[in-house]
Amino acid sequence: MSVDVLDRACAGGAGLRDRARRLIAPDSALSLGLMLTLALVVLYGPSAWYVRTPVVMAALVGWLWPGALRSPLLWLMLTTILAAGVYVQRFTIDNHQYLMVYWCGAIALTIDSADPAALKRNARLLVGLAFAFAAAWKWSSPEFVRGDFLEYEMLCDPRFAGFTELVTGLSKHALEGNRIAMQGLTGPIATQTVATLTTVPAVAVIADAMTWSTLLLESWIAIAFLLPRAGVLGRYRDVPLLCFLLTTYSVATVPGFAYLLLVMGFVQCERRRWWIPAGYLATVLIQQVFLLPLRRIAGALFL
Amino acid sequence: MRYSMACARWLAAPTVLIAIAIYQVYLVRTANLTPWKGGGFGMFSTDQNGANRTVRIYLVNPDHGVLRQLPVAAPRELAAQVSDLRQAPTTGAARALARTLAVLPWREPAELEALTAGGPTGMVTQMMAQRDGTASSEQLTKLMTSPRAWVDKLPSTARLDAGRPIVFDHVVVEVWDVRYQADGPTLRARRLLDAASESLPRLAGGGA
Repeated sequence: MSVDVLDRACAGGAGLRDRARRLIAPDSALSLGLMLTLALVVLYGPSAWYVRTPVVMAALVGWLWPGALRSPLLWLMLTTILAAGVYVQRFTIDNHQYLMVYWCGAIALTIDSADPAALKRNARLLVGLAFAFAAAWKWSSPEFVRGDFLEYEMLCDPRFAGFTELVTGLSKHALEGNRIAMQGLTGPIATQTVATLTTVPAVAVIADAMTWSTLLLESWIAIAFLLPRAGVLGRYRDVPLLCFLLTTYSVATVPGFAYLLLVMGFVQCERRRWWIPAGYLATVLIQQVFLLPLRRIAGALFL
Repeated sequence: MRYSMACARWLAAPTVLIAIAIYQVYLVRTANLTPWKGGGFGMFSTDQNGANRTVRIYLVNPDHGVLRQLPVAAPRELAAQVSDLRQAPTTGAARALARTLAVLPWREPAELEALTAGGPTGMVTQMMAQRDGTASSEQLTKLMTSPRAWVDKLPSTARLDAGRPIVFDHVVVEVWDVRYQADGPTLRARRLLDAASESLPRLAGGGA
């Protein structure tokens, strides 16, 4: 049973580093990747009741029933349920829900494969393709390349508000004013057609820097994951992905997408350098810290 | 044969990803689908986002040669339809929503008539009387706490009373897109598309 592998990996009186090495060793890493995927679909799958209930039931079977974790049938069932949920909301659901379906489908098709590298290859290709399309959209969007889009996000998106306030000095009230101006145009009985926003020069400078770092980092990840491992880019592909996860998602928190990329990154990575799989596992935990109301906690502690 | 089966198994998921992402590009180009949605991974690339789009709904009534438009909000029960329209607006979907809204029993506060009976002057006089305590403020309070218009007999409007029927001729649905302009900086709304229901005089007022 797969959980036994993890038990054995963590058992014994060895030190923390040795236990971590055993946990990420190839025989236990796959089981760990599958269990993390089950946690992913439960935590961040579609929230509609007709998806959540069967997904939770399937995940419980996967965790508790001997041998179910590596059963193609379980993964096929999960893929079908998730795909049905995505189809119903195909124009409104987030892209990572699509990617979650592909990932569960890849597990279903390759888990009992004679080729042990088949799932790793799928993980690598899915990450590479997702970033290739994401980068292509950004390169082909004039407002993104000009820096206007991230400038707009910094001024109006509540997810960026704390970051904008911290790095540009634009006041909380000005940001609230911008969001109210936005609501004046998008509210259910809005009648206005123009609204002026408040900004400071630093916003444009930081938006430009973020624009180019995002374009370069996403393109780097796409190329590195789609190229064979032989080259330098391919060999160190995990470095830009981990950088992306630790930087981008600390500002724009999309925990479902971050978690999914971490699971696929963990499954596909090389085990020779122990710090890479360990880095993915550590980042899974760090991502949860990004979700804490850090500003409110800091305010309560220091003010 | 075994080799091709193995290849098909490990290529299936990436192939589906590519196929859906290419289809999403087609939908963005032809059906106004926002690049953020539809499985094409265009999120955070443009401000053409569903959150920046709004569906504006008007109950339209011709009044002595003038078209009077009453802006209303769609009932919560139609949230999924409105959300789909924001993400992938088409004239057909907008017309379908307009038709659905046109046959619903729209209501407005019954107090509106009493309060507005004497025209603007009468309204100010009544409000002053309520402020001075010489008239009951119940009507005004009810008016202030009720929505301007609602649909009767829906779970989301169960707390509201029957009101009085709104007389209208047809419903217009518009989809607007808000775009950012770095000069200024400003936000500018532009109409992406609009559609109207057929004239439904017999059903105006929701079968009242």
